[in-house]
Amino acid sequence: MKILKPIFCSLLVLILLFTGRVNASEKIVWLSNVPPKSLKKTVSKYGMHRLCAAPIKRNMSKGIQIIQWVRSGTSVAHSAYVSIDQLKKRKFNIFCFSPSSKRIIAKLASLGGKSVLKFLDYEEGYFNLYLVTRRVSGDTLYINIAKAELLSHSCRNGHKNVRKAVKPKIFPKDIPFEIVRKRRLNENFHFNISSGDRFTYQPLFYGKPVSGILVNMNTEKGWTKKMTTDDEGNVEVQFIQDYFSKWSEVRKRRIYYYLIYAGFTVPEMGKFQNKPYSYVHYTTSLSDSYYPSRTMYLSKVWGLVIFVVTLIVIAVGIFVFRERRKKPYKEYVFDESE
Amino acid sequence: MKANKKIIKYINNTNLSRFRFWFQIFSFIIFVYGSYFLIDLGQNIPTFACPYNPGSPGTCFLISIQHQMHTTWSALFSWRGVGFLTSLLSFVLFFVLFNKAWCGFMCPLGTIQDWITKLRNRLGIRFSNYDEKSFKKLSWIKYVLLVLLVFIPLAIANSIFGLPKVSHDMMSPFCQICPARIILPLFSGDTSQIFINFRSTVTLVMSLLAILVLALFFIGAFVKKRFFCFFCPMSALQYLFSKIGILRLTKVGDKCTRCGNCSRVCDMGILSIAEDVTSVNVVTDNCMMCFKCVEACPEEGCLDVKVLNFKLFSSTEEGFFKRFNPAGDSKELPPSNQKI
Repeated sequence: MKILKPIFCSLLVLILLFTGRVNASEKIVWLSNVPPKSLKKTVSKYGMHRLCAAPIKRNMSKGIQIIQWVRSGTSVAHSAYVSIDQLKKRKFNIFCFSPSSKRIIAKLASLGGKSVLKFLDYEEGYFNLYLVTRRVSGDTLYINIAKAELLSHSCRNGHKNVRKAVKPKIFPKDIPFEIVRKRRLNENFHFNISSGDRFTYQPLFYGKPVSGILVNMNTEKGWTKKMTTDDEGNVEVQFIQDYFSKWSEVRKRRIYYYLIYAGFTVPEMGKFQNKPYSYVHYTTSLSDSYYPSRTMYLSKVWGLVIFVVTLIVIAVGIFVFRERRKKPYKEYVFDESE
Repeated sequence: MKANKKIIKYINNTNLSRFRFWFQIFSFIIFVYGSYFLIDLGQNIPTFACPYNPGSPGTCFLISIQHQMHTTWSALFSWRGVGFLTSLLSFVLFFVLFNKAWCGFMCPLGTIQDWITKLRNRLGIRFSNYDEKSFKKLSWIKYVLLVLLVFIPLAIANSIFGLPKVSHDMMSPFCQICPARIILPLFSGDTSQIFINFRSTVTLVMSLLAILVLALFFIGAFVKKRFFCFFCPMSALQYLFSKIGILRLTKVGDKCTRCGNCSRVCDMGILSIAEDVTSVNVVTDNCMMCFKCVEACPEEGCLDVKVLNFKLFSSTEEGFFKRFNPAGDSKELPPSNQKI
């Protein structure tokens, strides 16, 4: 009897593999703000959120071209940059929405052989950029929705309509499945996520929250967290401090990136590119940035200041104490004749 | 026999302070950078091998006690208690070998204080000493700290005398204020321990206290030799087991002339070493077994360093003059025009 159990399990795995119900090799495609090392010098950084942009020249009347890199994998630091040829093999759609929720043109381009999505930045606030890819494998249609929320802001453009511009936006008509980060009340154009902050993320399927699905989060430093959405379809994440300061790393403005992704399968019959499928697997990803903890440097500065002040106070105290104990010089003259 | 006598004479005439200086540097490298050499000395080292320092080859026993005492009474008096006893046994085995010489020869925090003293000497600034009354009063502080570092973790996990439990933020209370936690990581390039922790009132107070103790450590060590050792709970804990140490410092009272050389050279300012002519074992709770007293004693065989009953280093008249009279083995002082 003991030997039957492993044989049964192995058979089940083989059956599932051959029928295509299990396909773990499907890699997540996501949008990244970080260029490959070799191409760092060919791009610029734009705005206070340092969005990756095409080279910026003075007096550009046509606006700034924001660039996002298409990557594949789940590691923020090591995911591959998808080449233009690889991406063209798949069926894909690009969607881009301005802060005022208008659909604008975004194009696929090649930069050093790597795929990038480009759009023209002309408005202050969050741009929503999506890359939707579809592919049939076995009896499953894989729909991968890579999302980037890009906060475009340059103080020279002013700070009008802040509340409206930073609100999260969803587009269920075009985007079936996406993750939304719920905003805080104090968010404005200058807002950054920092280590220690707690945020709620909500995967939305055609605009409605989905409960009980797995959500994964990976940070650039390698921290990973797996969560399941609650009854209201939310997951709450506290960004850990995975940034420890060495002297060489003491930079408050160093930006780190994270990737959050979720997926689930629904039974749905259909045909895609003449290939029939019985299931649809939806995957969505969202990549954004975070900064080191706000209090980390503050606590260090306070520590150092208190140390130096105490050192000076004690040293002065001891000096004064010693000086006060000194007896004034007195000369005694003895007259030996007396 | 002749060869033996020669060796004994050579050892007794040697400049032990110079040997100690180099031994301290060697120990400092081991206890501060040991892990980079893949050295692992375990978790019960009887000196400040601070685990907050990434280069540390092990863990100071004080942090082990604090961790193991952070438990309920029922757990403490069950198998967990056996774990604590095993740790204690391991500490004692380490300690028995070198007795309080762990402080005088191996403690990295003590070595740093000795370096600060050397700097003060170079700058020509005079040092301070406690008067006898203050010396006796301050000697108790280390015992108070030792008791607190055992009982605070217990009071976190248990309600003592029906009082409310102590905040969890007081975990490892001594480590929170220990200057070694901040200083030793600096030698490995880790500055992360200099901070004020704003998480709660308790952490705020404790981290503030740590910074104040750190400042006090530097200034104190600058004006008073081995300033921190006077308040060190490790020294108090070591003294509890000092009598079973195989390394001993003994005195033959009959040979003592009470010249006071020994107490004058003592970095800790222990007076009893000169005044006590009845005790054989002269190791006190403040003694760090640096053996400067033996070096400074001009009486033949008055002070001895022994391993069990075997004499390792003894005070001799010849040795005294060799060390304190650089003119050579002559008992006369060098002429006044000769540079020392």
